Amino acid sequence: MDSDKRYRTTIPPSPKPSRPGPFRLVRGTVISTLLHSTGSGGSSRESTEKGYPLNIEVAELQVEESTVDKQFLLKLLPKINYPALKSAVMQISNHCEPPLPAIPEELDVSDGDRLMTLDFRTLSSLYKVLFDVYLVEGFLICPDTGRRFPVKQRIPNMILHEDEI
Amino acid sequence: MEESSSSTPSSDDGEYTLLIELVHRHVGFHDAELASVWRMHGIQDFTFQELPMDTRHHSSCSTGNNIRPFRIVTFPWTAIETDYSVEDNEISDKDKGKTNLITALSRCTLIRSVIELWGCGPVLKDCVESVRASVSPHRHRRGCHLGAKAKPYSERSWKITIHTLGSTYNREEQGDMRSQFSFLDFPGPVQMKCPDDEFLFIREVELDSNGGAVYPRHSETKCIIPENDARPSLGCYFGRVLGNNRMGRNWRGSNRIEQFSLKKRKYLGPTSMDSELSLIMTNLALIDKGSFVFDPFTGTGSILLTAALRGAYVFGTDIDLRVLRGRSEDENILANFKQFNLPPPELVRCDNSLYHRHFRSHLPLFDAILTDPPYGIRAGARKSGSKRDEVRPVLDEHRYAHGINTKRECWTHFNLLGRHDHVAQTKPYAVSDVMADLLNVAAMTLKMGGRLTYIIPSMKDFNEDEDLPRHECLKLVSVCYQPLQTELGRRVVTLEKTNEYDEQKQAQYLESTWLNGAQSAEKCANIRERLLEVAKKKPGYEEKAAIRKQKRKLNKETKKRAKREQAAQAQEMLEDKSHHV
Repeated sequence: MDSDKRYRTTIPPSPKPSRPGPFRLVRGTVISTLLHSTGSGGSSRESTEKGYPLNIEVAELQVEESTVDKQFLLKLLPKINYPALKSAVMQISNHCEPPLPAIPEELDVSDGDRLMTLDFRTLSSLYKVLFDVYLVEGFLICPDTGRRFPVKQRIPNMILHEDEI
Repeated sequence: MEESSSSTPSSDDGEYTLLIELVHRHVGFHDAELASVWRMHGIQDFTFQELPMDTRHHSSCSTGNNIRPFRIVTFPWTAIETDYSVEDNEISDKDKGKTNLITALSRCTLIRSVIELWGCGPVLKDCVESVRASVSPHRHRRGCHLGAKAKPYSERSWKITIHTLGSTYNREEQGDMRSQFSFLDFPGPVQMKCPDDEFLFIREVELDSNGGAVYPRHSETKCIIPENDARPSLGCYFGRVLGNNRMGRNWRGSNRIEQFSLKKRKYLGPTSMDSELSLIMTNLALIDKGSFVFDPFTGTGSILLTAALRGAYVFGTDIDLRVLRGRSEDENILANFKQFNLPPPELVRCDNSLYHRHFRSHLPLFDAILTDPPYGIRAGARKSGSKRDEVRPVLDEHRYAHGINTKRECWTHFNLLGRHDHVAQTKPYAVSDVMADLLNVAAMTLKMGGRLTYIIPSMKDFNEDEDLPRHECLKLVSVCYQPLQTELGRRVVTLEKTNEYDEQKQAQYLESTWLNGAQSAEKCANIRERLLEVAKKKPGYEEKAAIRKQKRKLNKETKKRAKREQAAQAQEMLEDKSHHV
């Protein structure tokens, strides 16, 4: 391989127009709040709102208790797409025993003052669904194209096939 | 006692001086790490002082000032009274709202000890004079900076430790040095084990790059070399050790280097980063409790582990699923985290060259990115894609995975169901692109003021000013050099996000990564091959290579034989059983 070719900097296609940006965080249940799917199965290669949020198919779920870190939760919440979190929790809630605590129907996470006024119970249930639930085995499924991303041993495999790039 | 304290003004406007003794390792990292520790705790109102130096004797001092492992820092005394505390006991009511300097500095991995400097000078005599003239003994007598819970002056037990870098003095000689300070006349009892106050006298001599004395006092046969013995010291320091009740004189023991040493971890790989360097990196990247830290080339998770240790919430991705999964149930990244009781990391297998295809938003997300990118020395970089120019489409019946991630699983699946599922192909990922993508992802996802700290190996021909990759949104904070071999070294580079990322300019960002284009990129690529070339030129390479080859062959054969024997044994056992039946 000649060196010229090897060190050419490739420029990826210019990314999508900027989107209003809440996204989801990654942990167990909420893995799909951060990830999205683009360009699988022949749909658009540019990322769109279509490939989001990923649906969750649960094969095995684990709940590991941890102590509530309020400060970190408040720091993280504004970065989360709340409707996506809500739908993720909906999808996994019947697989949990005992059931997950209820989280508010609607929440404006960009409103910092509002977040500060949340009571401890709400905060701890938010913390629990965000940080304590792990998707051990299952799939993340693109709502647009149906591409299934396998999750094994807690690690989602988001790698794209070579003809999807 | 009353009289003497009244003789000094009660509101003194003097200075408060600290001497910081650093370890004689990672010399290039000393100042950068200290600077980030100051920055992290918002400590600003101090100035660095020059180290004592007698130009008459050391005019030709070859080592220069920067390699001496000491730093002298002065604070205005008023700042100590209002903003900072130097109390050993961290939790004290009076302490609220003050920054504890001992706690702050104890984060610094490379600090060996910190003393409240009472006096210093090039030689012992100057040092003693400067202690006599100093206000520090009077302050110590008043003890107002020692905290409300500290014992009164007359009851404080004490000792004086003599520390002579790289040279040995016998007990009488040490006693002579100690007696020079007898004018201090402490009223409390002497106590060798855990005294309330430990005073330290340091005699500094010139050190070489390995931390040994340039002019050793003793020869190898333990005889005194008279001309070296007569050489004056480079500097002499006297003061009170800070944090001795919390961490002892040598703070390194309480630093977690040993505790988190690689040797003690359950899961390791050839690319694991040693604990000391990764602890330094967490400081350079200003990682603190509640930071959100990202590593796009996680590997065995060694860097994430130290970040988690600092209380960060860590998130790692890698394209190689096998390293993320680990070898077995007890040998994986999670096991390492569990071993140290850390909250588990977030791991996702994805490809950093396709970050925007995997992650949804370009909102500032991470507080710091900490990584050791693959340069092809121990592990080569790969990205998704086919090696062929024309990509063959994946057949539909293979496409929708049944959770198959590796080739081995693919074969199991084949044996069970009689068909293959597709394993995504990867192709080599040029170092120039690895770095361009890394900087771009960092610029995109870091918060304002967030830091990217990464490692870059290089040979001698690397020019820091020209050859480092760059990005418009990121400002260079520090470059620390660590020599590894005569030819090879690596740099820990820290960048800080200073400008907002503009998605329209992405192509421009990627193109301007390397100042000299391929020429710069070439310098940190192919290092493995170039190291081999250098090695081949050395005399005796061929013979050594032949020996290694033979050893490898032998190893292989013994392994094969062992396997065969095992198989034979198993066979025998089976036959035995069938006989019994």
